[in-house]
Amino acid sequence: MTHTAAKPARPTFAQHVERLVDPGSYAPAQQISENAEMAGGMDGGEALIGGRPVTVGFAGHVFLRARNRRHPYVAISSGTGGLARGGRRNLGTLDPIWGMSGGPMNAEMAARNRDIPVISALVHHSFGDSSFFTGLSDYVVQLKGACMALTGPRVLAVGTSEQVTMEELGGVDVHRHNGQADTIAETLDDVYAAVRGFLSFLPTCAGAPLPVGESVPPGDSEFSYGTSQAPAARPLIDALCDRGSFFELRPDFAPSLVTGLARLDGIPVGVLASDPATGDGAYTADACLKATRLICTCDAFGLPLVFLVNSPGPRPEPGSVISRAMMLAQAVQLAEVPKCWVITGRASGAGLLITGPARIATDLVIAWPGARAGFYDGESAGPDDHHWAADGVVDPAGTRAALAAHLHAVLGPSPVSRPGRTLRTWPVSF
Amino acid sequence: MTRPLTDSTGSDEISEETRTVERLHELREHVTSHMGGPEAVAAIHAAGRRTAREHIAEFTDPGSFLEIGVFATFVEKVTAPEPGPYGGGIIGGHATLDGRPVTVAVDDDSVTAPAGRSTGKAARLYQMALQQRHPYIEIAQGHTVPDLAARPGKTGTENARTFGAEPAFPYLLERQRAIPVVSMVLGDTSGASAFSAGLCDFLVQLDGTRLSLTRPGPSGPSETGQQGANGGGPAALPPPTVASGEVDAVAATPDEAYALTRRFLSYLPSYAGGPLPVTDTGVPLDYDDQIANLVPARRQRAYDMKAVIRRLCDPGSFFELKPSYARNIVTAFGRLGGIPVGIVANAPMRMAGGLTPECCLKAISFVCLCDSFGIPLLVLQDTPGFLVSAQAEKDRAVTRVMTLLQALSLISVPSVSVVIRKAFGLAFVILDGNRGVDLSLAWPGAEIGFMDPPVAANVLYEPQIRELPEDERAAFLAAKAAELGVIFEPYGVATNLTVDDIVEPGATRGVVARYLRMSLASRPPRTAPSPLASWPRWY
Repeated sequence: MTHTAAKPARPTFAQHVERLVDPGSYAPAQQISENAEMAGGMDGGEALIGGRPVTVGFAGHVFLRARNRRHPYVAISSGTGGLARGGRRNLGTLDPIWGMSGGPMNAEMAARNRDIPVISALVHHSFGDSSFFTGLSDYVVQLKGACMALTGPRVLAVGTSEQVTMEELGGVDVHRHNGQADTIAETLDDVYAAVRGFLSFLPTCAGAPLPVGESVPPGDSEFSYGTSQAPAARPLIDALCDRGSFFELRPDFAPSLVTGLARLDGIPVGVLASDPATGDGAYTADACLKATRLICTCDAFGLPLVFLVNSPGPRPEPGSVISRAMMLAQAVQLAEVPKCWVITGRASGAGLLITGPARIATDLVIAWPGARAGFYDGESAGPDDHHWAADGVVDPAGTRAALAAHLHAVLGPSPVSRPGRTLRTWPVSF
Repeated sequence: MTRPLTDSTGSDEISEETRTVERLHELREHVTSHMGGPEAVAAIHAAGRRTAREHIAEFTDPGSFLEIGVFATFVEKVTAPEPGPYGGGIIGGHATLDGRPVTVAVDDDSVTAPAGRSTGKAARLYQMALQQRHPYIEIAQGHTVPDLAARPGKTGTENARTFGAEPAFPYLLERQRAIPVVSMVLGDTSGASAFSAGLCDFLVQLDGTRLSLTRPGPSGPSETGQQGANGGGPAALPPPTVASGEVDAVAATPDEAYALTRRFLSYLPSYAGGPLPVTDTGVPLDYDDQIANLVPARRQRAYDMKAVIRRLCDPGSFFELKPSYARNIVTAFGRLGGIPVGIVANAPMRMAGGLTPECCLKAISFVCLCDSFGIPLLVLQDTPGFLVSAQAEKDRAVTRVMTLLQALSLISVPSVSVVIRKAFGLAFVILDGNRGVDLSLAWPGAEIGFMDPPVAANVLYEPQIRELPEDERAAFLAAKAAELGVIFEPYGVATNLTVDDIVEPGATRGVVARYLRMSLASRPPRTAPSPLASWPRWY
């Protein structure tokens, strides 16, 4: 990589960490690994974020420390991969397989099991082992200007004669649309804020107490109850959740489904809202991927799920529609956290099976007056027939109260995350 | 019209007992021959197709069919004065395939009203297969509506017994590959009949049929807008489910579909954790002095990996899945010394055997299948690595690659990897299961390293190359690539046990077979399902 002299120096790994974590809380590891030497002294250590412990490391280097301590791991990724990082300096020390990447990825990391939250912050171009780790992360934030790809443009040019820029290869506009970045950050401060924000919703590890906060009433929303218009997803989320709490994930990927984390009367939840204002709120093949990733994360870390449904379900399109819809239906079925459905408009097509009938005692299915459900459009029961809404029809204005009451009832006074047994070993990235 | 069960057929001249039995015979005869009515049956035959009962008769071992739910009907009709049409839109029961018990559930497309299918009956049949621990096979050929009404409290599988009282749809969602499930699409299919296509272990589709989740027709196009054979229009295109990779095999005729299903099941145990169907243990494992000739020494020359697999496996045992999708990787079943194995192999005939995101997906799906049912894995490597490109990154290369790594990190079946000719960088790491395969082997001519040597030389010596005059660069690069080539000989990686041994091509079959035999003999039976058993079949 070449840098013009005019460019300000990029922060060092330690500077990133200092700006990310609670001030003064970073305690670098005393014994740095061989990897760290190869990575120019970068390695990692422990710190506090929001008063809670984390391990911060360069790419996946000290993942095991976090896993042994059972608290979140934050990977700060920027690097050219092992080969170019060290290989030019000393061919004699090259591992024939790993170049200068420092040996095999450890097996625990590769198997993941979602026992601790894992986050990747892409603060600069990331190739090779720096990019691999994003595929094993529950949350990926990418800085504008950073490129993330298996390998860099130079290897492409040499190996395949393909000439591409960093942006074309793996810039934010690539990964915001293919879903590999959950958040795109404009500045480094946005990166740090995103990491802190995401972690604030999760327990420190699977099985730890849920980080329940103070209840905050919803803020002003463009949506007001009583209009006959079907509400768009985001105003509806704002109207139901604690003020300013909605933390959206993958906003530009499969936009007909809006997903994210939020707080409902202080309780952290995963929200999946079909957006009738975008693509009719259909569960497209990509929307199924988007939903499945969030369901797996929430189930592993004990966050209840709230589905806001006004959707025709899957739509005909090329690709693996059947498989992805069934995958999502499986994820919903296998998730063991409390699940709440609010049918605000229509739940039709195979969308009904995805949004699903209530199946276990901790589930809740409520509907707004006028909501319709049926497998095929036009075959729905009449607007006054809500037999499928197991827990009744609610006044839209009472929806938040109904959800909060249910969640408080099923979670109890001091909720502990009860990780599901099955989805925690599902693929991490979808 | 179907006659209600309350019909009297009695006569005063015979005994009560005989009368009762005769009435049963008469009703059964009526129900099984009448189906959805003579017109509907005639229409199916006129279209050159088979009724549900004819499919079962042709598919299963002669005389083996034990029908379940002959008199079952639709939810809404249970208490109606005329409860038919009988069968509930599904004809099913237990039977044997090549002597092994299975349960079948076939869409009765002679029946249209009221919903075309009772998910409760399919759930009941699935539940019975699960309890008896043998494969469950659906034949889909209808546009049907599931009973999805929300009724809280219990899951579909639990409720299958209370036929008609509870929604039974979720029966396959919780399957977690406890028993093999096959979906045969033998007619245009949508709605509830399409669900099993997204949840099964083996999906075979009759060429020309249309499979979609949503109902095609005036209300909307099919998944591609393409018309199936039964709907008129161009049937020359392969089903769109081939392009999407969802279909494992396409059959030209129903008979071929039956044969493919029998073949597929012949490699699987009857249930996860059950004994593997080991056969022909007498097939010799002699030294094969021909197999090395199949692989050209020059690394740029392509060759047919399937020919190598055929020689490694017992004669006639090679059975490929998804042969038309991501052809740069081969996924297939075979047998070594009678032991069923799942084979994942690079195919140098296509894109030099380079890996793409689609290859990863194909491998992930196959690895999940094998690990769930305890079928040992054999990985044959000959790949220049991942085919890096801007398009591959757009197609989520990182996600796909790391998910394959995740899958291979979770396997617990016996696994063997053999580097046939070359394996570089991340591709080697992943295909070797991140050093997770039980036995890692290489042929003596193999190259194993962090990057294809010419590319690696170019990247490593970039500064030096830049200083050289143009006309000296090629020779310099070639020399440096040759230096790296020496490092990449398999003896290097054998010194630190990155590969466990270097094996002669001719001895490979014997070594792998003997290893598998020992491994299967000494491994304790699995007490819990594989974590991969719950993974999606495809996405």
